Amino acid sequence: MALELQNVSHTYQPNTPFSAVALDNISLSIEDRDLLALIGHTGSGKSTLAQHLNGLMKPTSGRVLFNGKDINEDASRLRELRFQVGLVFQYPEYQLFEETVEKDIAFGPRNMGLSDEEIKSRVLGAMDLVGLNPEEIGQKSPFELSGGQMRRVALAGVLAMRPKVLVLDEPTAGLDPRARSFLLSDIKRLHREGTTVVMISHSMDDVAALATRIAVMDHGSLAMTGTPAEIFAQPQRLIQMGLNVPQVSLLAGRLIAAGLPVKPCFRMEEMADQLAELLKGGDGDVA
Amino acid sequence: MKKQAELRMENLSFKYEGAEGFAVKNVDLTIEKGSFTTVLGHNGSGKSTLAKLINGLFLPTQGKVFVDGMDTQDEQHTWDVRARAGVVFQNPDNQIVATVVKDDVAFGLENIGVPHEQMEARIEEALGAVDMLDFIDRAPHMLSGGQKQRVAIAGIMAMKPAALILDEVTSMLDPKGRKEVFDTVRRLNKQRGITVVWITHFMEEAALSDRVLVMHRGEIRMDGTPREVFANGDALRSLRLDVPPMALLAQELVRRGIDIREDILSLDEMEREVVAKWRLNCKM
Amino acid sequence: MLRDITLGQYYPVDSPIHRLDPRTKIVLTIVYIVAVFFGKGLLGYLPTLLFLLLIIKLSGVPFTMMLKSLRPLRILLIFTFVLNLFFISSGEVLFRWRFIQITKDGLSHALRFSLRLIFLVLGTSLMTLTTPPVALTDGLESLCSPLKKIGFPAHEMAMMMTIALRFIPTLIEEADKIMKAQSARGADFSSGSVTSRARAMIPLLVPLFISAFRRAGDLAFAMEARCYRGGEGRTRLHILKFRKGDAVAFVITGLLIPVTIFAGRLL
Repeated sequence: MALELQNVSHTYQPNTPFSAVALDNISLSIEDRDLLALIGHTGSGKSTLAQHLNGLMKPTSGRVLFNGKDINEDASRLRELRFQVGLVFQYPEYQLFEETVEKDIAFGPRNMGLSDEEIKSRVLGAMDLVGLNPEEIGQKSPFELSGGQMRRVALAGVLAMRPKVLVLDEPTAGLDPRARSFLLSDIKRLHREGTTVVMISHSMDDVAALATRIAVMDHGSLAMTGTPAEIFAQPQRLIQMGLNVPQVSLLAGRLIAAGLPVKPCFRMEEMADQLAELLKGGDGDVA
Repeated sequence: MKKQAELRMENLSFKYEGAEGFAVKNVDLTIEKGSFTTVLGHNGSGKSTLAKLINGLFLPTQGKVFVDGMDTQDEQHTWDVRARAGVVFQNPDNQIVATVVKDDVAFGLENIGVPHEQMEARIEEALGAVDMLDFIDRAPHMLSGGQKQRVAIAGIMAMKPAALILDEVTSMLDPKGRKEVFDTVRRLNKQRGITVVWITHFMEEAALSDRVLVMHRGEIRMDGTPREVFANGDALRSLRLDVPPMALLAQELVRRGIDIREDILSLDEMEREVVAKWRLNCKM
Repeated sequence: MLRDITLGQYYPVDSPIHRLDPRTKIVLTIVYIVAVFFGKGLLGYLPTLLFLLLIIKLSGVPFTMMLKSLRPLRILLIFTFVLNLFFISSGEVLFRWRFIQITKDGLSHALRFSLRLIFLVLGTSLMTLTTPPVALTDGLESLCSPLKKIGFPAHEMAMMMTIALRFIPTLIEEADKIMKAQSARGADFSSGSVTSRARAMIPLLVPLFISAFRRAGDLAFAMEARCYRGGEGRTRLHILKFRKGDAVAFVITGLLIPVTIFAGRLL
């Protein structure tokens, strides 16, 4: 088990009139090689939860375990932990600061105290992972790049630390469709190659396409956890919490209600296969 | 009062200073009064440049832009053009000037010299139009993204524009804020006849408009109703744009040899088509 | 959360002081400061003290709120008091222990300087507590506008203040976010020598500046799109108007200086 939250609560400004409960008794385990999607409306506590995973925020009560050890037990080891649990914030391109792309990606590995040689190889490796060509843009200023490329540089900056767990807060927010699909395939590949991923997202289509597990947050509590099939089989509950449901799973629900022999599903391919089978020109396969 | 605007671009091209290529190239376009037109295209396709050309923030390198017959290059009309065709931008944080919602809506009115006595009424009317009257005395930085964008729209609405140009105003919002803002603008268009140019990446928003334009490398590559444009999935994909999920499903079914309309846009239509087809199959 | 911080610490209630024209409050705050400096001897501070208590009472701002404005200054206050107390050696000796001695002059100096500081802070924070920042900038613009004739950019200055007030919370929030993001890449902002700490600020400051410039560019477009073209020909939402209350305030505060001088002479 990579990460585990045990009864984690977080209150902002406790004991003041402004006190607000952001996380309320959350217990959640993130298994190795999961691609966990964290969904919930704005203000439901997703980003606060993400920042607990690498110790940027501390629980007011409860524990966060990484490989079985409480990460907040020894504050001096926290920096170490952050190299293991990489966190990519929303709009990470706004954190770029170095003169060149390579130098910016090297910031994390340099903080780890690695040798120049090792840093170089990690920078190149990370650029390769996100599909950036080092020869083409390695020596460019990150500020000359397009928005989508800048975001991938920022992602590479975290990947270069070779984290075991990658936490992404709204990785595709504000990107155009092309940049979005590039980034999603990067994430898919990283996961396939063995990285555990936690992804916060508003886009149910992205979640349906990638996630192996989904955790739904509502008003600081964990409302549901399960596989995408389990979660999207309850569209009403999701809608009640102000969330969207993939159109495909809504369609499946409606067709089932209309009496068609369709199985619940949420992925485009699966739905197309089912319907193609069902609607194949009247060659005798009457239900 | 004349409230609608026609926007017309004649052989319009624009090049940024020092740039090699044109950001907008040979655009000939008339946007009808009271219509809701969506402009699609990925980053760098020239959408935002077009928005800034329409209200004269940029002036054409070649060709002309007319707002209600007024040439944007005619200095006499600069301020009329900007007041008639208001632009709202992408980042909700970077276009609110004042520290109180009310004062921010007043900003444009102060600029165009609206008499003091009329201001209160126009501010309240504009905030009412975007459903933000309850927030009139709030500080903008305490609002949600969707609320900030509606304040920005109110700031334009108070100036009584005839056209609204919205440059990716939902791209930084969550689904709830996105819906709030889109519904608000669609309503202003339907109820008040305001001409809308809606620039976006979201296909589901495009599907709800009257007309869809697709820009690529500064040119207009596709132009039609949402149904016409989205039925052409291959062309869209070659421009690296998405197709709304139900249109995509229809196209996937056609590819699997099912005889189904390719121009399906909504869930309702898809449900109707599939159910009808299945019943037909059963009877055979 | 950082975005909950209030700026200019405005305390929103309705009171005769809140209703005063901001220009009145700015000018009278200056008059008040002058009066404080005219105060001589402890008796000389009596009118100022009474005046201050009257205004606080009228303003409806709770006294605890007023005391809060003194908190950031407590170290400076103690410092002033102690310094004056121990280092003035003239006058009658009141107390002596080894090398420490306290004289009458020292004690009176210490009290006077501390009181002066307290009066100054309380008076000026009363202005910001009872005047919203927007009104304050409007007031300043109006007061400075006669200077436009000699080329002083009164409107531009007020606009800059407004924009600064608007964007400070946004930039504070952003700084917090960037700091966390760089910490997630192992940046260390809190340990090491002075130079290494200064260098550690680069990953924070560069993105923050770039972001501020980007915001400024966006804002310039948004302002132009809303027909902004400087102060010429603008009308105003808030029109400043002197009322009867302002006249009363001017008379009462105006009396403060002669009364203070007179009270000082009595000693």
